[in-house]
Amino acid sequence: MNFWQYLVKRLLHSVPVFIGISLVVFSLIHLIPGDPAIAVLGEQATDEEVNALREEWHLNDPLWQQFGIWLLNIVQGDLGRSLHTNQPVSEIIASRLPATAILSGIAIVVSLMIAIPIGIISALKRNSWIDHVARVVAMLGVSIPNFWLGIVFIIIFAVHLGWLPPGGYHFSKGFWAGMEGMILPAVALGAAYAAITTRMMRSSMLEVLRQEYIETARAKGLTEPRVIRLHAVKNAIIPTITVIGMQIGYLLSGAVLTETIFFMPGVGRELITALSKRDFPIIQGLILFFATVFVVTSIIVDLSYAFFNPKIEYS
Amino acid sequence: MATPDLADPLVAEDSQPRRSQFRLFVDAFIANRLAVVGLVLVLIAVFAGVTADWIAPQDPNAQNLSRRLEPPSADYLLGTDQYGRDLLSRILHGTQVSLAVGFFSIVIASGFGVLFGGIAGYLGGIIDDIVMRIMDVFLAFPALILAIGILAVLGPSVGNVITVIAVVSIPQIARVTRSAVLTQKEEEYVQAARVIGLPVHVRLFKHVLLNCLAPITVQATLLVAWAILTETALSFLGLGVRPPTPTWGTILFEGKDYILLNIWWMSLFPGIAIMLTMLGLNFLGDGLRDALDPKVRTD
Amino acid sequence: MKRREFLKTTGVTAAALFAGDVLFSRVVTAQDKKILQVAVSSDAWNLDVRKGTDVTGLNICKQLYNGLMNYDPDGNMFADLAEAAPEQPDDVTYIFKLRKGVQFHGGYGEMTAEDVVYSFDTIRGVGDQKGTFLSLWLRPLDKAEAIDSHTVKFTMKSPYGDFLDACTLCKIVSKNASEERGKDFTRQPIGTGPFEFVEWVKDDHITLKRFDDYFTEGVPSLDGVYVQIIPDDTVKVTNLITGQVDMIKEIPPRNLAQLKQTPGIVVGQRTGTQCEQLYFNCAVEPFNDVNARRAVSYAIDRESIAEKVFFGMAQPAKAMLTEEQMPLKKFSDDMVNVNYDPEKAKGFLKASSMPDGFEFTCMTTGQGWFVEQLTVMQANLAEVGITMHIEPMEKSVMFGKMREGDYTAVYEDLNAAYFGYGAATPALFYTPPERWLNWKDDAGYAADELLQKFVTTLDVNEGQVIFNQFLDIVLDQLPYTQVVFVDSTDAWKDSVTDYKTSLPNDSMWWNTKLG
Repeated sequence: MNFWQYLVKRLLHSVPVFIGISLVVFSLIHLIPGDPAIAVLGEQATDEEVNALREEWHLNDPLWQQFGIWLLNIVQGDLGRSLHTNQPVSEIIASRLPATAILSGIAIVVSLMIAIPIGIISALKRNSWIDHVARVVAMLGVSIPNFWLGIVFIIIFAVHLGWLPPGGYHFSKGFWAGMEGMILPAVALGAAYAAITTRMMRSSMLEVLRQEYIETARAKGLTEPRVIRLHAVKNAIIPTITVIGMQIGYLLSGAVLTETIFFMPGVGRELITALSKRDFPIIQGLILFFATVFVVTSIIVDLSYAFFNPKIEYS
Repeated sequence: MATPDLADPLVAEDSQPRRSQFRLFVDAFIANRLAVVGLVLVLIAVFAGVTADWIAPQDPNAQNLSRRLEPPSADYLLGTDQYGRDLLSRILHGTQVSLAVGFFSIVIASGFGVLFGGIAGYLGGIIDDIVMRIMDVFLAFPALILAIGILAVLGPSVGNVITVIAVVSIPQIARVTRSAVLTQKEEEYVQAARVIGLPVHVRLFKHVLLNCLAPITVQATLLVAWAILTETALSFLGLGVRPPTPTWGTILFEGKDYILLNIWWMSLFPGIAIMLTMLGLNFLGDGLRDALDPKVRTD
Repeated sequence: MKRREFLKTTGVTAAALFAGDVLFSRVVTAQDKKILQVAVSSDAWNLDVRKGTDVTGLNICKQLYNGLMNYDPDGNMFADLAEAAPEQPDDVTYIFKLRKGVQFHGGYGEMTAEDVVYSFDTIRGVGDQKGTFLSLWLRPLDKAEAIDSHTVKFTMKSPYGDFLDACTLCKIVSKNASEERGKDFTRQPIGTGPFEFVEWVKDDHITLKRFDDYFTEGVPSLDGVYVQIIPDDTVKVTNLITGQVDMIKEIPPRNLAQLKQTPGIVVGQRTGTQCEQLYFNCAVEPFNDVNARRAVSYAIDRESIAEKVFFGMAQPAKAMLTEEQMPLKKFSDDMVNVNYDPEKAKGFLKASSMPDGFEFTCMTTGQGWFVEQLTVMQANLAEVGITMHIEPMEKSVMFGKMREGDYTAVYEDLNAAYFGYGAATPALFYTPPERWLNWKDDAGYAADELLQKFVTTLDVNEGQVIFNQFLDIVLDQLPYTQVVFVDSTDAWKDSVTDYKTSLPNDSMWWNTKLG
């Protein structure tokens, strides 16, 4: 099987997954208690008003019919409209995407910058005190709830020291103002990611160092730094980078909390606010969006892994 | 681990090398200092949780409004919260609830996960396809986001948090179980059992699953850590356990609004409790994995 | 070098994403413009002032629209779109002369009598058209007519003491814009106010800009207002302290003292009209027993809640209104005083059908201070032998259950700002026996009758007597019990001047300046 056949097979495999996802998302949301009509109209609404609105939004139709309409619409890229503001959900997601994309992007970059060197050193000096310290620090990263870390950052760096703004999305005031607001949230979000990445880099590095070709390189008389740089690191980074792509779900979950704490207008915070307002179409759209990003990322990761490793068996 | 049934010739035959395997494992585990530290931390947390009813100095829900928001002192070792409740007592009882959430949710998840993964891996074919496609669907959601969605349906309570975390963890266990079963299936002793015609379920549970326990235990240990963190996150978002039940998540949630007022003890102490327990579980999980992995062990 | 190409492409894509975002972002906040940045806790429900809305919507609508009459922050009524207070040839007729040359935003032309009649008619619903929530306040209105382009005549079915008050609530919208935009008017409002609407990004911000053709010279002073929605208390306060915003609405009580001590921050605080109350379902156990309601009401330590949960930012409540609320001027001296008295509470419990105590579940909304208050009450009630379970849930779920009568008790607030300053209005809304409280016994109907009589009584002294009779019944029967009145609060940087915290906590940024 060549790469292209593998690609087609991988894509075909994801079709039932997507159908399953949409079924889960749809049934999940329709089991949520609470009447969206009341949420929109408010406590003061009369029964007639509530019923009229339910009628208008097909909330009185049988579920399977609602599902059919919904599925047909998403296939056409129509995720429905917000119950509150009547804005198209796709538009809402698009408007919230930049904040999340930038935040996650910086978080990934920050975590790689921390993780790769530490992972390499940790693996080279296995079981030394450096390794132990590095592993403990990395472990701290996954052990501290990131929202708690975020709050601590705000108190120290924004309130007491006044060095950085307490998050927020300031790109309208210029690129650097925007980036400044991204620092604390990106570090808070990236900490856990850095920890995971460090562990992966370390084990990937250990794996590579055990391989025969490293011995061969050494035998060929290359100096140790050259062996490390030319062979070991290069070969260890690829699986690390591709495999951390699989952790994108971790990042997205973290973004929900980080965006809430740092007041970022991203998709994560939107999910929480939509949930509190029972805005069904937005909740559906967002969970579907998260799952899609997740699945698409894993496909890309799988493919790029296959692409970079011609030796891999496409199965 | 279950005692090997000596009447079973296959297991008896296998028990000798396994015992030495076990010794190798213990030796490797003890040699890993971080793993031992992890084990100790987890044992301390479990002890605190189990004995909370006896060692907590006060009723965790008893209010004393005239002594609220007090910093740590001789009367209140870790200070008091906004209702004048003793923080130490709340954290100890919170340990109980948080550990219970983590432990029971993963026990439930392991039960179902092992069942699904075991069936899929052992039987293979169309059943494997169906079961794993369903698991794939659930794995396609970021776990916390799926948990938030389900919890919104069920409403907040301890039981529901356990249910939700269990549901989103099942696919992880199932996947690990399935691949472990697939590996074991090819082992000689299973093939041998098949040859002498032992019934399918006996083969499955006695031989395959027993030998898959190691990877499943490692995964489950790490998942317990994840489950506890998820509980704090859900409580933090106001979707988790209901007040006044103390959990690490609810204490942290109540404490966060007071950090700005320099009332640090409400956030710091539960934060430390979470951190140490997480560290313990993660070190333990890693240690178990390394000690159980012959490749790393012989290194 | 396929790999290199791949990495290069990735890099370019990432760079494009960054650049793209910078290009797409709003280019509103130029440095030299005076834009007031305000943080509020929740997003607006809608901006169509006729539909009735939440506190944030109210804040925004105050800037976007004018009424025939209006209230200043101190609760003084003034003629707004009317040239002066209306002529009243008899008890049921009001004739307003409209201000001339008032322009609507967005080029929708001059405001005329036609727009006024249209606004009132769409609120109350004429013909086959449905009215809005505010129609409750226009029930006694028989007809609204345009006499000429700048004169409007209102005729009541019966004398209605609160009509001018209703005129402050029922603001004037552009007929053309409303008909043209239909449902979208909610998101694209057109009024005559000192600020016009620019943008509303759901759950993030609402932007307003100065309306250059406003009818009063020099108003507003600001170039615009940028309202950010920040639900988290700590984040909101941090943003003020670190200077990200100029003003926050509704100070979290625990941060009050801190903000008062923070240099450069001004705190505005005044006794408010937001009442926190416990609603009983009078039709189901245990609260179909009046003594159970009394036991709970007397067991609540209101002083302690005002002092501890609100850090002094609230006053213990005696009734559903404060004495300051117009037109009621004074509680009668012999009015029943529902205060903290555990012994009395135990007595009522003994006299009830459940002398050994009982359990009940109280619903409330998850956010804010509700749970904190209930947690204190939970301990209060436990002392007299009553067990209360707290069930926080989403507002819509809670109101849905209340609507269906599927509840035992509910803890919620009621802000007079939603209903105007009229004494009768909040009471009118919540006490009709068929609604919410299920207070369907003789006392309930008697109280309702007194209210109806109060509404149609124009004489203040006579009204006072009737209202006191109403209060006597309510405070004896306690279909709901008031706990505290929360102060209206704002905090702002000292560079903000000419701003005053308003009584019902709606904001008036008409004359506010930014230094």
